[in-house]
Amino acid sequence: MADRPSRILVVDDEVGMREGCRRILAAEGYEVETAEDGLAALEKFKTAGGFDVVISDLKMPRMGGMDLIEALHVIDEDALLLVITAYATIDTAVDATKRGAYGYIPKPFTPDELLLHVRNGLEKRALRIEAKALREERERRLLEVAFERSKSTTILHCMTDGVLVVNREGRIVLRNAALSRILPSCAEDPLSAPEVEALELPELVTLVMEVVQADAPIIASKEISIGSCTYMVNAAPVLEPSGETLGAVAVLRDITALKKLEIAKSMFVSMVAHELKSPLATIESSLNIVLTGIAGDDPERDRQMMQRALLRATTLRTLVSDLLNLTAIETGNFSLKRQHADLCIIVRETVDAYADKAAEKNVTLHLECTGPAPIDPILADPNAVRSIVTNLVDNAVKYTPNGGHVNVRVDGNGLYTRVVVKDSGIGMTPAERDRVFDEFYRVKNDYTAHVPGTGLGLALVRRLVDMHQGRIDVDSTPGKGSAFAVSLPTVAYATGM
Amino acid sequence: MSDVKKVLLVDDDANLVAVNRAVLESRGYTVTAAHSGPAGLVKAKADAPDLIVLDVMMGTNSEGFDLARALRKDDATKAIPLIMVTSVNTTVPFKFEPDATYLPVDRFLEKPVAPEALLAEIQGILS
Repeated sequence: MADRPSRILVVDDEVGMREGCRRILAAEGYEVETAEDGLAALEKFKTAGGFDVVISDLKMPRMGGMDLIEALHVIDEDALLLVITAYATIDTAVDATKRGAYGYIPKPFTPDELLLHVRNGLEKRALRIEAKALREERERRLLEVAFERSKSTTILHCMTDGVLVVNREGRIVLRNAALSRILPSCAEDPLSAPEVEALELPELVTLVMEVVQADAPIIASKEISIGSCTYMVNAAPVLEPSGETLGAVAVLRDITALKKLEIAKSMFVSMVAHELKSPLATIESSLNIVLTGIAGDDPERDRQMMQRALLRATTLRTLVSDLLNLTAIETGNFSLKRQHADLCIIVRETVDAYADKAAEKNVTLHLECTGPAPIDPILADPNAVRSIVTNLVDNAVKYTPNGGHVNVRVDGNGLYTRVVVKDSGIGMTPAERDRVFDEFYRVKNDYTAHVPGTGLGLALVRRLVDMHQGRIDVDSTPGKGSAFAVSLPTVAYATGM
Repeated sequence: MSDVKKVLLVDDDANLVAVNRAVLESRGYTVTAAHSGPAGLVKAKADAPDLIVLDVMMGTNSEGFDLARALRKDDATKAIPLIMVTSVNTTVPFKFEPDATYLPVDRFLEKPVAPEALLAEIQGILS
């Protein structure tokens, strides 16, 4: 406020009084404006901006000093008003101050008296404004603190990880909503501070107390099982700025899914190892027999043995390549090159390729690719589709005994074009059908023991179908046969036309 | 060998059965085969073999174990010596040893078993 000269408005209906005051005040460096009555003063207040002090006569035409006090306070509640009055009675003075005037100056007054009053008034106003600013600042801070606290609390309770804080004595001083979900026993009365032992999790107690007692900024971690879930618990000390340990904070993260994944992964590796070992064992034994002559010397039998070893080696190679494809799909390294494709052509090529194999087994392989309307082209990767169809036809021929038949049909409904491979083969039980897309799952019975397979073909088929946003359906009856139907989106449907 | 000994091979791998059959037949054994646990039990009762060689992991991880216990419970088959051939020890995280109740077999061999090793085991038990 020292930056600019204080502004003073002098309101009096007497010109002599107005000008006299102006001269005295202007000489002291104040910026002075004048008005001839209350209404003119209000007008000045509105047009010329605020004034630090208003010096006003009480008796004026149109609007007097008393009314001006009230009107001014509506505009500026901190407006400071000094009343000049010739009728300087105690009554009017009290009345004026009651209405909000800061003080009064009885007429007549000397320039020094006027200046003294103005200076006091200005000082008073400055203090009043400063106090108000401080009060506002404090209120704002309080609000901020309250908001920050509620923000932290909200965030803490919205966390998916459980948070537990214990003090040096091992009493629970804070727990968030997630912790109450993980440990329902600790959800009751939020005001009580139960012993951490009450949680009945000795491992957790040991962990947090170890951190509390370490008296050093250590981090302790442990996997803890709670019910059917596994949690990774990380505990750290809560330190004062001085470095003193106040307690410990533990965060519980649910890693059940990760643990399951870990188990699935190691089971998968075991399965792969076993599936690789079985054909190798047969190949090894076959070679062994032929090379050592342990089973006698029969060239024809040796040739058969080598033939079987070769077949198993081929299966092994297919297994490795299926496995690589599956892994590529799982890791996202397998990308489809989609284009307009004719499912009929792909199916026909595949069926033709299997004609000899089917004939060898005396299995009739029939293709039906002529619907009432032309079959809609699909948007697909031809190589992937070839792999899908080959797997289905190969399985159908493999699992259909001599004299049976395999029927392949292509049809569509405009949205999807479908290939159905139906055989009169050995079929599957509902339980077998449910697992047929699992990796390494093979239906095992006296028939399948003689059929080489990797247990990965259909797992691969399903993934390729999924990648095309298609669907695969299986219908099967033991002893009667199976039907696999793969539906792939047409170009029209896939492109939204 | 005074008379012809009969061996039943139970394994879901037909090729492995063929290999072992070749070796055993060349040494004068009569060989029959089954490719699943239930079929093995039927063959064991019908053929009354002098010895059974069986695989653990067939349709289920424990099909061989189940068959071994079923054979031991049946009066007609409980005296037949059993050799279990398997790679189960490499696929499950714990080791198996023959024991009277859970794994009532005479020999427990790790796959792959060299044909001569299997032959030696069979000769050892049947001589």
